Amino acid sequence: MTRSLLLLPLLFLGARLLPAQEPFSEEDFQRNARQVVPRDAFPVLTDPEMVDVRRASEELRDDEPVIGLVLNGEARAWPISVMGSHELVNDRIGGIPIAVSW
Amino acid sequence: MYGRTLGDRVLEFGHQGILYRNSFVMYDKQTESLWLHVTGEALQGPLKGSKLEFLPSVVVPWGLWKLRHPGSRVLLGRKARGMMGAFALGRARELYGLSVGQGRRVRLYTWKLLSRRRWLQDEGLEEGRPLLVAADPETGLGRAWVRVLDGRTLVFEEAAPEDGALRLRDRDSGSLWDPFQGRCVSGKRRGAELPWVPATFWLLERWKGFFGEAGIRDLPAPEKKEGTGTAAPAPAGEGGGR
Repeated sequence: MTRSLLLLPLLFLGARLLPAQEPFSEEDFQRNARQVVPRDAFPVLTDPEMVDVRRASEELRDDEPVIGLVLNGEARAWPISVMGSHELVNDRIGGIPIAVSW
Repeated sequence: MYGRTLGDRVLEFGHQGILYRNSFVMYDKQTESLWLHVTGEALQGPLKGSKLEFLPSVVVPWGLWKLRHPGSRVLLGRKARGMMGAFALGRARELYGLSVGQGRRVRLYTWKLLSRRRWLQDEGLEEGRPLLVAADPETGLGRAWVRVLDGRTLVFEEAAPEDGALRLRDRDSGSLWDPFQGRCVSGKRRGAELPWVPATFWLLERWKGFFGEAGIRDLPAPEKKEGTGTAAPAPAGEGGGR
């Protein structure tokens, strides 16, 4: 019993000295990943309808942040406030399939 | 923001419902592989080890975007506060930092540092690719570039603004640069462009949960003299100070 108690600090120290799981390793992922909501609980969008600047200005304040991208001559914007509902959008811009996330 | 083409395959992503180190996990509907939205890398499944291409998106206020891109298409819909917050202007922005780089080679510049300095030069995330980082405190725009042109490392100093816009001068040619476009706007190197580096704003706490604190560049606490202090750990060059 006494010996076990003496070993406790050593075990504690050993645990502290062991290398932490490297983030992004599959082992670390299995240890730290948590299913917090069912799959597809967030309504991810695919090829959503987009509106023009005039229509969008009716709903967006000038100081609202948007994620913007210009690619192959096409410009698209995804307001951060709207991304908060979806987290993820499968979209296309200038013919290129893209994933927008926030 | 990623391209979702991998080889000749177009992927469609869904939300796996999993949180990993406080960030969400995507799955692709074609192979059911699991992807980290933070790095664009597949961690599990048939596509494990694959990486998505990062795209040069920006985050700016709507008022600025619509002026610059009047033909833009825009997503509308129900608004909600997501996991990454609203990224509103003002003091709330101090919760964020500009994550520069891609995948696991990243560094985070705090908004406090960037809004004070507006631009800074730093060592590279990879050998031979030193960085120029710029941020606009008014609009929240943040960009990063490799400050190497034709094999030469450029060293910048702040020049007089043009129409209120920040301008930098490279020391060896005296040419003027727009640090938000990564482009030389006048002088001997006019028209030259610096290679783009992915830069995205992240909530500081979430970024720390993934990458730890070692890669964070912040104002020293307390900063000795405004604009002349170095970030901790110190970026290689000076930025502007106000």
